[in-house]
Amino acid sequence: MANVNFRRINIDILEPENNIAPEDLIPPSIANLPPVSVSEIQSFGQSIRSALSRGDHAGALSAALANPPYTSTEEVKSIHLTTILEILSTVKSTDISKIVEKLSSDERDTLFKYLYKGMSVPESHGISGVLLAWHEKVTEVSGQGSIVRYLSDRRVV
Amino acid sequence: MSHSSQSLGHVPIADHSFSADRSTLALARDISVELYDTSGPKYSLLTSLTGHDKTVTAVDIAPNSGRIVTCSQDRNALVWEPAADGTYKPTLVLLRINRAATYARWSPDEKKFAVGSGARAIAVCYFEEENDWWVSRHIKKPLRSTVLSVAWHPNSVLLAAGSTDSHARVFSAYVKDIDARPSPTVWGERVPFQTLCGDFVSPAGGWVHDAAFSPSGNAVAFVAHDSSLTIVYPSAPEQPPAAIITVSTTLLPFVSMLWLSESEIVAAGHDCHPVVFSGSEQRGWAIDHAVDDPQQAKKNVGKENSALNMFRQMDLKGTPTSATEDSSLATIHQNTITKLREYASSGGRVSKISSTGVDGKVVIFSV
Repeated sequence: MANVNFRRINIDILEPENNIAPEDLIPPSIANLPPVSVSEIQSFGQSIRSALSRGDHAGALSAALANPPYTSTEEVKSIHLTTILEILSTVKSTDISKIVEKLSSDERDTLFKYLYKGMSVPESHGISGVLLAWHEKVTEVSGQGSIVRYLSDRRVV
Repeated sequence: MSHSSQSLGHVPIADHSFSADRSTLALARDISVELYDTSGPKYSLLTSLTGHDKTVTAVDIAPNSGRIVTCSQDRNALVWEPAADGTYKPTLVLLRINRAATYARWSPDEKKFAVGSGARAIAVCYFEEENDWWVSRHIKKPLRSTVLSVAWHPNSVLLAAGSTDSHARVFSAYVKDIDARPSPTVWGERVPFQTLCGDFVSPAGGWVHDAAFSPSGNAVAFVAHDSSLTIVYPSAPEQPPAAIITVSTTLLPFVSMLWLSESEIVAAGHDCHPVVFSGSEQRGWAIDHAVDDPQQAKKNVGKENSALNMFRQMDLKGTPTSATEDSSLATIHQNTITKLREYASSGGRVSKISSTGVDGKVVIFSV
């Protein structure tokens, strides 16, 4: 017994009711959300892009942030991330404040998730300046509350 | 709006409680409970209650009997019985928990108290006459994590609990031999011990730091680590609630909250100043105003000191531009507010609240 590293013994495993399964941690608000397929998210991305080409940046962003694919696969999530990064990088830096103010507070919280997610993936290294500019403008409007909500929220994008 | 502040050392204060006549203040800090005489302009230390050997996490003075309950990370709770000569006699409570005790509150009728703990349990404690000691019963299901706070319904039977599993729950803590049969409420008609009467989460989750029933007991509110305040209005027993209203704020998370009246709530936490919310089931809820607002304080300081500062800076540094090197916050509290309590009320509304913080300050705010 002397050579057992007692700090590494998982004592909770001895008491079955102490174990928390991953599905226990899914927030009830998205528990019944159906997963989105790859083709669905791609066609949704196309409709967003056509809105972008019409110049409707605010509408495109708000539509993309309305229903994030929380319960879908990583592949679907990364397709949606690419769509959102595309919108963010096409907006002129002088228009960012105006668009941020048009978003609802829930949409700003969701935007925060995509900003941090964007900063964490290598594909966005070319546009990290854009992401920081957005981060600054969103924080101006929704304060530190949005950052804390990003940290506490289990609805991950 | 006048606020009075007392600086009592630099050790963080976990919890505080005033006696009913506000002449004594009990502070939970480090491993002891300090009792202060509050009659003078500066609070003076009366005595220190030492009985715990780890951090004391909560203290509560029963308004009528004067008994003090304390609980600690050493997994124990003590009931301190006041004697005629001003000393206190501690009695150990059999909590039967294997993790830290986090929170303790007397029920309004003072026959019971509830202790939250890291053992995923709430111990409801009551005095057993025949054995002459305090015993406890556990509420365990469906708690999945540490209980951070407990709050009693005015009828002394229902209990609201906030937990680190991001749920706020309403339980029945009805103990057959102690309590009279409770009259039905919106939360339930027949409520045997451990009945779950409500289970709520805020949209973005996060630890639920504090929960409380409204003065009437017909609504429950809680603050979570997603910087939000959520108010729940139940409709009828076993039915989904009539309304769940969440206010997501731009501030840092709130740690403690208090109902001022049925339509007003004050909350405070990591932003170091209290914020008053107002609303109702029909109107919804929103931030009404900030108490001790740092934005406002900054403006005032800027105005008052500008001329003085200019000459001082010219004298010190040979330049009139003041690079303010004052590292203190613009608020009275210089660190997280850990607890808000009612201090005085008038006309059915709480008019003064007391707060304690990590900075070792006790502040009484007019709200």
